[in-house]
Amino acid sequence: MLVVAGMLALLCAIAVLHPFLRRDPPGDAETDSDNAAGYAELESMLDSIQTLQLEHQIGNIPEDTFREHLQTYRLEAASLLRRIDESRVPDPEQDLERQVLLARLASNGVNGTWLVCAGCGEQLMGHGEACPVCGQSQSTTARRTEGARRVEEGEGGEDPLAGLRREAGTTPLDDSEE
Amino acid sequence: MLNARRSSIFPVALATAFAAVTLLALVAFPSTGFAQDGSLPSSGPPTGSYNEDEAQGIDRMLMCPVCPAESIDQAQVELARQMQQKVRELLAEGYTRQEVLDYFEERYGPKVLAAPPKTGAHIWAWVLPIGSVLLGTGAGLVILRSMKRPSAARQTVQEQGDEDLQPYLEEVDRGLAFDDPATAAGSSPPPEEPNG
Amino acid sequence: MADLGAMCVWIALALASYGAVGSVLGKMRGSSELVVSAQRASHLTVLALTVATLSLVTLFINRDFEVAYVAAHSDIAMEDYFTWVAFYAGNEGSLLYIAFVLSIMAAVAVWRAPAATQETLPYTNGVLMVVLTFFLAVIGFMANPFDKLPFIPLDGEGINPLLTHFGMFFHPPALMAGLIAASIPLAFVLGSLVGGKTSDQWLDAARVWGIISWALLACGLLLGSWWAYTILGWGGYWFWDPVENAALMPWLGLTAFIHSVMVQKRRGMFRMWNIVLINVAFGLALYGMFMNRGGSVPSVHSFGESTLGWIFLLFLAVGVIVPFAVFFWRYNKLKSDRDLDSMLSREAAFLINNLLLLAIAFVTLWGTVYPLLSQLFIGEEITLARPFYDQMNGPIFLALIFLMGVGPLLPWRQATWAAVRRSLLVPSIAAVAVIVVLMTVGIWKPYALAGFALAAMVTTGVLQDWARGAGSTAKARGENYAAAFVHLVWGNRPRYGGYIVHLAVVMVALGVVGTSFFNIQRDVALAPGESVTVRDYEVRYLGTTEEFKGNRTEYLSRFEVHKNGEFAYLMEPGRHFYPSFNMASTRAAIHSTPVEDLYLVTSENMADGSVGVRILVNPLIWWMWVAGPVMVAGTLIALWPQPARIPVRAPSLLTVPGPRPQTTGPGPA
Repeated sequence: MLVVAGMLALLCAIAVLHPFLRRDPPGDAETDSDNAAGYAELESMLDSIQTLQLEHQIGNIPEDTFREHLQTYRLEAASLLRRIDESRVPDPEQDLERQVLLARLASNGVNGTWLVCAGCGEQLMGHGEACPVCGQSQSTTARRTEGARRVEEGEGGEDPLAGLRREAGTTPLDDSEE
Repeated sequence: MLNARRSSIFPVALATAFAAVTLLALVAFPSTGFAQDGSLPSSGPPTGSYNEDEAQGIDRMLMCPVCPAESIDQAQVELARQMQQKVRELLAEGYTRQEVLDYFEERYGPKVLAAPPKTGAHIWAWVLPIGSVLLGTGAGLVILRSMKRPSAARQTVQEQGDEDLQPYLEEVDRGLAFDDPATAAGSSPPPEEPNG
Repeated sequence: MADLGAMCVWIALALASYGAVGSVLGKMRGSSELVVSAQRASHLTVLALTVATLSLVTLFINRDFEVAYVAAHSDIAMEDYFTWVAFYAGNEGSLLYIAFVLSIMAAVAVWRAPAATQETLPYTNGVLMVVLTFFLAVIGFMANPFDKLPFIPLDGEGINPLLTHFGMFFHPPALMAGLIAASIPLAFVLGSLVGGKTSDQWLDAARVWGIISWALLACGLLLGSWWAYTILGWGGYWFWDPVENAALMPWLGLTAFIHSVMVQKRRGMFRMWNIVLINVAFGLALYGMFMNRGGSVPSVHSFGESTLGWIFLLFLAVGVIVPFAVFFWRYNKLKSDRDLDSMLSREAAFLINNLLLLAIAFVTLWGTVYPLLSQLFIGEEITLARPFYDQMNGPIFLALIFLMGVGPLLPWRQATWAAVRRSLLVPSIAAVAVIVVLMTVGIWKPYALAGFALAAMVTTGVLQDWARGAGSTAKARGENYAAAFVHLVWGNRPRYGGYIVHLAVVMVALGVVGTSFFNIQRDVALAPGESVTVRDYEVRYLGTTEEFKGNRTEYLSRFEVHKNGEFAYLMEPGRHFYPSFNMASTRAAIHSTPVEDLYLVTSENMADGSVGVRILVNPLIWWMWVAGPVMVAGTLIALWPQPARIPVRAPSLLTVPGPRPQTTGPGPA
């Protein structure tokens, strides 16, 4: 019995010490929790609007109040969305990665085509790497040039590409021209 | 939205239905105990005339001295049974509820009462919680009122004409799936196509 | 086996304390390795405590009486499946159970934590691990279920007969899990505050875990009532016992919290109030555990004497003071900038609901501690029992139910009197109709009338809302009513889940009013062949059979029930006498219908074959037990996660640092 307990203790010790022994820093992509809180608030605003509509339909809210509140909520949600976008300033570490990627891009000549991470919808530049945002291996990542083109031209559509839609102004080519 | 005709019929129909269900329940089970009539069986060990309901009411107001936190009505011990018996005897002798309670208080101390009388020093047991609850509720309502903004100072929507907001508004509407023109109409004039 | 279990407790204690210290230090020093390592340690407590739990179960199954806890709570005659109950029959085992549940919940909470709380998650984890460390330390140093006796007894003392009931399989575990689950919303709130995230970051996590804790407590309370109803042998289900109160109070606090948190979610208001509420709810939950496990107040739940009182009291003090200290530390950053639009709004209704719930909790707390206070100030111990609570809390409960009928009809922000009048029309008509009908059949008791009328009002209000919603949805989507209703509920889960729970509360209220005002009770002694008539039931006693079963004698009495002169059914109440406890546990025979229960319980088997029996007619109590599943269903619907509607954008790699000239992109070009 004591052997079992000892083994259990050893196992726990190894697992607990393991993070210190690893060469590479633990791969938890630091998510921006303020950003996430913003999205949570956005979702509850959308919930509020939905409830408002429902209560209007049911007849608990008269037409003019409904319009007034709906407009307020929509504007609040939109400004919140804008605030979220504006606060997304990339950190220096990511800037460095960006330089590396741009350099690799130039040498590889992958102009104008994007890889899109299947995990998070982020556009990728390199080959054979993991996605720098969500860590998903690129081997599972589909080549989404077609989808990217559609987004560029504003045909938009699927949710995973929403991240791209936001970046439509800054294609690799645009970026290098800047 | 409900049209006028349906909304006028609807409440009446529902209320009628509800009343009908209640009535039906009472008619279908005429014998149900919703009226505690006087036709009570006079069974039970003690003799003499007393009101069994009154006795049971008193049982619930007396705590069993030897068991934890149980009234003599609940407790399953001999002492509790003897006390119940005594309650009935006293009632049969013509004691009132208060006299019975006093009788037991004299013998077992104030701890035997399930709730203290609302007199003397015991009044605090009743007054203090009521006072605090009223005070707390009052304070809460006053604070709530103070949170209310004056209706004149209603925030006017300043961002109304903000051109930059338009794409975000569209995304919000997409998120809400405002595809139903009826609901979207209530929101704002359909967003103009911005000239990107 | 006992050694393995004890070792596992120590391993878990080491892991938990390291998890607590490591998380907080790692976060403060910015050492992500330490944070990850501490996180792992915290998760590993689940493994260690699983092994410890399994060890104790094995010890019970093997009836290893060398272990004091096993010897005290089982014997050879005990059926194996009662191991489940015996496990938490005493302090030591229930503490191990609490620690085990907490470790699992903490691991799940941290693992599934919403993105908004990620940054302060180490602090949250730290708080949870501090709580876990406390319980494990108490287990290890003061109440170890793996302690051995200096000798091996031939047989154990056996399980407390009151616990050998089906309800006991779920009532204590649900309650204990609910009480300890209250620490999770608190941990999210505290974690965010300590980490300086003073906005709404903790909101979703705290709401979800608050509801989980609330639902567990509600299930525990209902199951406990059911247990009391069927086994305690007096035909009631709730009697304001100090320990019942101790579980009711955190439930009230959490009820307030899960309502009020919606105001913060929807309107960004009441942030400070919600923090205060969860602090209070957690304090009350700790108080509940203190009452339950510290055993300072006499109660039917004092199954084991214990010396744990002072340490629990100490932890209770810490658990109340620290959260409030953190709250005041961050006080200035917590102000929300939103205003109330109108006093006639959902927000205002929620606040009044909170005040009423807290009022009940306060009155209950007052009643629970008054014996101690009166001892201190008056010099004699005064009891505040059922009559006190009935008189004080009854009216507040009625006011709450009234609010439950009005609140959901009020829209957020601002309601108009015209719209409210229109929505209230049907419910009011229903309430009046019910009063009129009841009065015509001769029911004049004002409380009962108010109770039934309010129940009708809430029910019609909810049904009207459903009907209107389904109607408009059906019209908008071109579907039939049933499909539209399903869509409606599924599209607005928190709202309609909440309404279903409201209906369950109405069912409970029906049961309470029915039994409090219309029950009939008769205590009689019957010889075989004799019969007694209670209203329209004629109950004839046939006889009793006796059977010895190892540790107990089982008496089974047979009664024939005639209704309106016709034979209706047989009823067989039982009574199990345990010589080693000098104690009997009863098994009431209950013939249950939605209208009323006929309830028979034997109190005494006399030598001449006659029997003392209590006969009860309990109207409407059936609804109370049905409310449980309805409430669980409503809670599940309300909690079912909703997918995000606007996709989260990851930080881009290809954007130029600095201010973004980002305005033209997204729209159709």
